[in-house]
Amino acid sequence: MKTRIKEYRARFDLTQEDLANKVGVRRETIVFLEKGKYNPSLKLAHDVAKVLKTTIDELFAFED
Amino acid sequence: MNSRISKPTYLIGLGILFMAMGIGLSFKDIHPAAGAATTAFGLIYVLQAVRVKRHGEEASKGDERTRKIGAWAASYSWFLTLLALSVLYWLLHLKVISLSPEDVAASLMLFMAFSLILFRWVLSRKGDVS
Repeated sequence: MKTRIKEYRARFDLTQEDLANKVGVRRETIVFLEKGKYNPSLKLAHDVAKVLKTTIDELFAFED
Repeated sequence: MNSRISKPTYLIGLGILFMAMGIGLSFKDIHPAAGAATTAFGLIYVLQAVRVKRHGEEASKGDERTRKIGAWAASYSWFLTLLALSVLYWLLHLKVISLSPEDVAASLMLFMAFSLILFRWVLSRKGDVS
């Protein structure tokens, strides 16, 4: 899984800690999300997309 | 008057109760691991109470990733303990080793606890369970 969270986070000048607090998860979860090592729930993906003012499709790309 | 007991208070209460029982058991003529395990159990309750007090009830539960990892670690630990129990059964049945029931119970308690901690650590480093 590839994500563009880091890129979008930079646009809003948010740290990993800021984003984690806004979506109610631990910073480590954001770290693994950005590395594409953690598959988030639909709710978490939605919450992250909402905070970064984009869509889930824009943020996450699944490889076949 | 609000008579609800807060979560940290009852966790500390349970913790102190288990620790007192564990210390009490240590002076009885039973397997030494029983007292140590009960005391450790009480200590876990007290530590959890401190965590809830410091970080709040919601934060102390962890987020979806840590809950998911915890649940999978518990499943792996349970399955591994079942395998260990099967191996232990045959070793005892074939008289390869000789253990008292207390030894078996104590070793399985420790095996479950340590394998759970180990799986949680491994899965946390990996990032996810899959």
